[in-house]
Amino acid sequence: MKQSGNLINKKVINIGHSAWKIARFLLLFGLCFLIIKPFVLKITMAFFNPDDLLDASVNIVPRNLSLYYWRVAWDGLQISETLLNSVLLGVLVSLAQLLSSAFVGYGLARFRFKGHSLLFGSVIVIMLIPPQTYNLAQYLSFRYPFGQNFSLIDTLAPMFLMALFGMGFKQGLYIYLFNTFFKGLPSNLEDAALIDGAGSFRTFWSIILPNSRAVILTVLTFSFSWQWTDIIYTKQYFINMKVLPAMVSSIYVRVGLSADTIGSAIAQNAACILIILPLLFLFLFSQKYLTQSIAQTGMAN
Amino acid sequence: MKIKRTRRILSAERKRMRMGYVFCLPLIIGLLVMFIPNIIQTIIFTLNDVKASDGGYSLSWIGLDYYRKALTENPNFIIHLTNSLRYLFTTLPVVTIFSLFIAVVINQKFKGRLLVRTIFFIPVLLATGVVVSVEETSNLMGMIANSSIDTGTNVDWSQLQGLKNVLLNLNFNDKLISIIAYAADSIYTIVQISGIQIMILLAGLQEISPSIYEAAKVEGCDSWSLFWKITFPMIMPQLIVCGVYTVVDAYSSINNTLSAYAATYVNLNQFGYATAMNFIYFAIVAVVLAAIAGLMSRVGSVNE
Repeated sequence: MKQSGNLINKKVINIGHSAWKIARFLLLFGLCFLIIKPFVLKITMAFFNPDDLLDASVNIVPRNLSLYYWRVAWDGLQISETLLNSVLLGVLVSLAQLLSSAFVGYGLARFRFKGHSLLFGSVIVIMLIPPQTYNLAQYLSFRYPFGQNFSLIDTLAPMFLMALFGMGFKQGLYIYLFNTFFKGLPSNLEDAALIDGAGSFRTFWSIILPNSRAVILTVLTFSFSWQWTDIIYTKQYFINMKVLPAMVSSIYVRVGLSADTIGSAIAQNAACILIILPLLFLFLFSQKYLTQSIAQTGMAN
Repeated sequence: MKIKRTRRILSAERKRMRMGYVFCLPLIIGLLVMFIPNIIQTIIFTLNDVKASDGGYSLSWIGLDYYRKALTENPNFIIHLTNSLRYLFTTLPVVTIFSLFIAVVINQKFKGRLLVRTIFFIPVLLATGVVVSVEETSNLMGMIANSSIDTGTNVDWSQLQGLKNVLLNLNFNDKLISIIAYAADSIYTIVQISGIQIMILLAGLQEISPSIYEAAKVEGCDSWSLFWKITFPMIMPQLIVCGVYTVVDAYSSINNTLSAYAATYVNLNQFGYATAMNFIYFAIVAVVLAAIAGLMSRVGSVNE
């Protein structure tokens, strides 16, 4: 009697489980569709032939495939001049942000000192006040930091220095993320290392960081992606120096074509897709690495 | 002997305190050299009439005039301020709950989850930088909707009207219908603005060791109590990050009419006035957040 009851219970659980599987599939499918639809639409739009745009009978799928708008986007981005700058900026800034955020996050998570809560509160304040509100002061402070004949505008220095000292783009978020993560790490890891005589720096470097893959990869993909597409700071600090996202707004003009609102919108969207495509691959690889590394090491102390 | 030992402990503690400063040094330097001077400079701008002159600017003192003007003389400002605050405090719970739900779902094991996660990363990329500015300046979808091309894919009112009619025929309550229509209309927006929060929570969930769940399952926990007894408390810090981030993000949202309204004054060369408006907004948001944080910590300590 008892056994059959158990069997029924199991059956109920199984049915519930497969119902959840179906519901999950439908939910994720629907949401993914919602997310992808405008994205895919932008991609297919860029395959339109300029002549077909005016043809009312042509629907969402272009009739004559044409690489015209892709070529406009590709030429307009001026890859040969901008790619190196963008890569250099993205790598330098995101590594600087990663390093300083990890240090500060650890310092705030593991040490108690005078002014601790003040410093922690200031992290929330720098997160809360967006740079647009004080960008004029920022710009002025980097324009002639030491007199009229020396300017940091049009160099990588302003953004790199800001990232190095915790003031980079959205860096409050990264510090906060590291801080919450380190708070959650069991402290017996460090205690063992400290008893063995390792200093705080060595403990941090060789015990803590290797155990922080998920948060490191999350911060790195965020900071690289946002730096890669950022136009707030790049417009503020670069006048003659060119980076990828700054090329998008006037892309149609740059290849010598007259204004054509729909055409230029299509070309701009195509350029955006060219810019963010590498970031999607970056994310995919980091997630793949993450799931593998967690599976391999167990991660679970 | 005893005194000596306590002194040694004290000095070790002091050493640890000093290490805390060393680790936080980048932030301390950044605050002292960059952030605080910039904020002070900006506050000075809001207390002066700033005039751009070739290669520089000139200031003439006007005191708290901008703040007074915004709060007492400008009816539009109050309207935009209340709109923005209402937007902020309705999105906050919706986004937090939605992104927690999605993060838990895409953290489960199923076929194609790498692909699904990558798709959920798309809104993060679409929500910032150059992509947003292109979206704002040249609204491709809107243009196509107005032009001769029929994409047939726009979620427009006619589709929702169809949904509404079906519900009306089923004798649904008017209010309920408007809520359903609103939800259907805003689900895309919610997905878009929850991208970062989902990723933050996902990273948090990935840190929870599977062995904890296994142990709890052996003890006979069902999924419901697994969530409330393990997942929820362990993800709490990340949930707070999400809340703060939602507040931050709400400022630059298109739906935040205040930031757009203030930006019009920047274009009118009234930088100080625009910044004064923003500061009023942030002051209110900071006070409310502090109140929420205080409340939450009190609730937390009661639970303990």
